[in-house]
Amino acid sequence: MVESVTRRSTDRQDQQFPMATPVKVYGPPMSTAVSRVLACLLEKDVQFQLIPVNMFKGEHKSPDFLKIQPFGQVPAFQDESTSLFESRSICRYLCEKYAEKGNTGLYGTNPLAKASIDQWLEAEGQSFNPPSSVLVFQLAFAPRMKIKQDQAVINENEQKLAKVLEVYEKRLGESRFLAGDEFSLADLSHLPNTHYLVNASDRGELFTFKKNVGRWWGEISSRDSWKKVVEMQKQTT
Amino acid sequence: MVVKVHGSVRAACPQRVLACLLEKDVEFEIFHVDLDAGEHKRPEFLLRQPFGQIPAVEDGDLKLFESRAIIRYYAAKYVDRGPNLLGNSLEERAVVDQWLEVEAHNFNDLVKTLVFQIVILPRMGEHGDLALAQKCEQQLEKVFDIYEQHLSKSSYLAGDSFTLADLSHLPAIRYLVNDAGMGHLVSERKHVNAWWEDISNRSAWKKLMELSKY
Repeated sequence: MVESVTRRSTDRQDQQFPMATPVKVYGPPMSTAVSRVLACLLEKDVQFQLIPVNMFKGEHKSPDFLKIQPFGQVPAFQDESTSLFESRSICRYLCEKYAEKGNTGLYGTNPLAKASIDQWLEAEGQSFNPPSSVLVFQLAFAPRMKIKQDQAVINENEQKLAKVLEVYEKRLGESRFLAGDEFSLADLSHLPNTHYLVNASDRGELFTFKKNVGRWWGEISSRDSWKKVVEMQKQTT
Repeated sequence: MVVKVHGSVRAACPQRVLACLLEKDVEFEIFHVDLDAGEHKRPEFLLRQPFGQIPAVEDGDLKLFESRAIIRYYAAKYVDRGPNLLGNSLEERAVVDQWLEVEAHNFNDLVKTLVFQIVILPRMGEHGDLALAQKCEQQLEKVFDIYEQHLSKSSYLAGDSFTLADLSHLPAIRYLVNDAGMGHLVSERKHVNAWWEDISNRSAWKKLMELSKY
């Protein structure tokens, strides 16, 4: 347990998420990986405390933080029985531990459904995340941080992402959600990066101009859980 | 039912799947995909794997791609056969998954880029970007330092037993040590070295090396 990470939270966070819960997420809600975990907690109806980590001040590289996340990345996660990192594994853990709570189909209810969800979760992690993460940084964060954008990098990654979304366009013409007929972790995992690209960059058309991807984005982004995450992101900027 | 594995036996991602099937003593048949001839980008293959990548697996009605999804499926399906690659409790399974994600997101890309620049491109008769390769090497040094610290406290990444988390690293580290001349990343670190010696001497991995006919 990390005791000396300074906990600063707003009054509203205290009201929503009482101190009594041992479930803690460390990191700023504006972080895409942190918001992935928050979306999952909200889908599963699990109460939690959000512990801020000031990345501008390098808190994520402090010795205390490195004890709970040795790569110096957010999020980190703790509850009464474990300490974990890597957002997608935190999500899987939450789905297994709270199988009967909230959205019970989020990680599938049988091995074949789970395999399909894992397949598309991996596709997100391996094919979608790399180019979309670069674009989120270049288009949504670099300007705010007064870092010069790299047009060559933007072009290269836009092309890569466009190719991935062609695959998604075909898939989402055959299936309502990526892994099947139900919203799952696989779709949820795409929310953070897509949100920034659609709402905080001028490349939203990559998604919205595609019939099936646009339809899918409209559905998954209007879920209550994601709306709450966006609200949390707005509160802390 | 024999599991059909579409891919090249010498490519990293199919090897991840084959290593798992061998550990679990699951019968499989390899359907070679000729990458040099661009077979993985042809329409017939894209029906199996829409991103045009290997491996793709066919097991009766089940069709699956993404090696780490495939190994999660088979490790769970055959949890009672052979070594338990997943961990025993919910918390143990989560830690296995955590290090599998570390391999996927903090390790794999660095190795892939490095190997592409100093092994694959030269094999194709082209010049690799040595500056990029060096940058990857430096970042890998930092990652291996973290592994060294971690493995000084436990024999394997997720605890005291070999799991999917360790297995997932086998193909990439083989590339580093045998093909890319980067063995020092492993041998210069006492605990990483001991771990590599252990996991690469498992009979399932040795069987795969024989199948690959290096």
